[in-house]
Amino acid sequence: MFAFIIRRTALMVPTMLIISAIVFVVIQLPPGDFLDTLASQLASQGEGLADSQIALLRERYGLDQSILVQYLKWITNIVTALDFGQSFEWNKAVLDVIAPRFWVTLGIALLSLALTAVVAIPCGIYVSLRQYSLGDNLATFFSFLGLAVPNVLMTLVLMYASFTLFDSNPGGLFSAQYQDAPWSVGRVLDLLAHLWIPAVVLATAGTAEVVRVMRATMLDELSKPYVDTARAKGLTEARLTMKYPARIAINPIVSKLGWMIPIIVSSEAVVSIVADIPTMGPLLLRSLLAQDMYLAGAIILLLAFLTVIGTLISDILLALLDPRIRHAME
Amino acid sequence: MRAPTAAPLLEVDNLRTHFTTPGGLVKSVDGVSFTVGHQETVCIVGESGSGKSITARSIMGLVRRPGRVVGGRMNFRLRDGSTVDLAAIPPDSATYRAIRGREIGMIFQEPMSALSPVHTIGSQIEEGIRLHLGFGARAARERAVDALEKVGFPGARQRLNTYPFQLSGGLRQRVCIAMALACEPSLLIADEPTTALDVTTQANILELLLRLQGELGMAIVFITHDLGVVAEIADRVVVMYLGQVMEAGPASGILGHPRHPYTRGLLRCVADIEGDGLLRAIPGIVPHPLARPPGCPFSTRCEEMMPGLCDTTAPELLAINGESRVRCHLWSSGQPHVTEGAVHG
Repeated sequence: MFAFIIRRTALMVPTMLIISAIVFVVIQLPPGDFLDTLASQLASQGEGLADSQIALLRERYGLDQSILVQYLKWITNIVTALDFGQSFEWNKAVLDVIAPRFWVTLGIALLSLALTAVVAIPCGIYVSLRQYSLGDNLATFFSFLGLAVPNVLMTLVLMYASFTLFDSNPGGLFSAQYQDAPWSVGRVLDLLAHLWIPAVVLATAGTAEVVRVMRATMLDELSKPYVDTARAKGLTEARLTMKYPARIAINPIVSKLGWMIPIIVSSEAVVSIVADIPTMGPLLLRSLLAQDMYLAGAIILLLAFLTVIGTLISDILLALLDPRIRHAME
Repeated sequence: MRAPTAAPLLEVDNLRTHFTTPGGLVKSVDGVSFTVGHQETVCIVGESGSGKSITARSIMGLVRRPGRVVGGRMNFRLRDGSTVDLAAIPPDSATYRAIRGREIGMIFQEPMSALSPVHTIGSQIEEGIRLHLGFGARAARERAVDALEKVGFPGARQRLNTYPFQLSGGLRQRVCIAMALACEPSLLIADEPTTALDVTTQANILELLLRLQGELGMAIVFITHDLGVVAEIADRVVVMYLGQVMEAGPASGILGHPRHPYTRGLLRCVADIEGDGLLRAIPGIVPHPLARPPGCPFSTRCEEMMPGLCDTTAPELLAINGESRVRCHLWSSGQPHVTEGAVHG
């Protein structure tokens, strides 16, 4: 088991290197660079930028070099000094731009994952035990509703409801009085009061999907002979359901965990823009539009890293849950 | 006839288990009666679809939806001497749960899928012991080791933490038997426990069951389609076809002097392999449960079918002499209408 974790962790290094190369090529693909965007912006405002000045800037940022040289410089700085380069647009180190937003994003993602698990797994177990009952049909109805309603709409509805029913202003990350206050219990509660809307919106689609998967796997497992064996021992239905089929049906959910985080991060952009929450999604969108290549590259690389880490965590959890996988590894 | 002390352990009377399906009502078990005496081995024989497994599940209260025991009685004698009608108590009630695993144990056809793949064999054996005997973790572990040793599981103590997929088919079935017998039930229901095993392992498991029967003093209801197995272990035999008992009686009588054409057909399938090497299967196939033939259920495949009688009137289950019963118009008057072929060696 320990050897497996070491091996898997070591494998992450080449994986990340390959991903970084692809990321770098992809963010270079659109024609032009940040300086072209800047020049056209300035031109539209009536301020020209002399070609000589552009050439000078290009040389300063190393944008005139070949893509290979640029990439090697970029990746070397990341690996040796954790230096992701400068953001052209923010005129700050990329890491300083991303860091505060990264934690907000991770917070929202984990909150919505937890919400999904807490709601969807018991719900999936319940509807599998009461197939075609009223509860099952209601759950199916709300699952499809959750899958079908666009996140934008749901965010707006929740914000409106929160505003009219609870008289709270749900936009942003903090209320005015906590904006610059030091950390306190009140500030954490205020933060949660603002984060629940994106967390709920993002959890809804995930919940709907997990309920369907859980229901299908449970129905499959419930028909297996080992359930009869457990009944033949005289166990209660509740106890045998939790110990046997539910325990096994959770495996496919765990193996999905790895790629649920990147999905949440990529779908949070819309929610965050609507609810005005400073996360990575809107930042990525803006950096791509502005061709702020180092910022965009760093964010995409971070997403890839989260995916790889997430996959590693689900693989470890799966091995812990399923002895067949554990033994196949040895 | 019987002295009160020899009251049977289990008395199944007119058991009916039906399934409500979209296509109609499937009468999987339709009026089955038989008795199981203390320490007796009763084999229920029949082809697929005869209702033998559903009969076993009905006794254990394990019939799955949309199936349900809709009628009849299953009087079972508990350890304390009292009798309960299993057909009258809800399968998921505490009363039934206290009987399952404690008074009646059950083993299944597929030892691999009958065990949870992600739990150790120790954990799966111990839970019944803790539940029924109120043992603590340590005592339950000891008892599990005992149970495994009784079924001839080598290195029981060291291998409590192994998983089913690490064991061979024969060892898995031994685990299932240890699990079913850990609380020393007075009745073991075995639903084709050797069908999925190879011939050598099959023989070992049968031998083991007979030895344990002697040691623990339990009765066995053995479901099988293999008459070779029946010949080895049965005290009494119940032959089923399309949810009904066709013939029942002492094993020597059924195997030596089969009365029902269906029983004779089943026996020919076995006997002729040794004769001219040809397999004499019963012609035709078991009718679809939703298209039961009128009259005798076996009339569509019977070599001695009497037109106008067998295909119109359902025969009654008749007592022939003492303990033997047969459901066939050939024996309606107590004597065979056709003597030729009635007695096979």
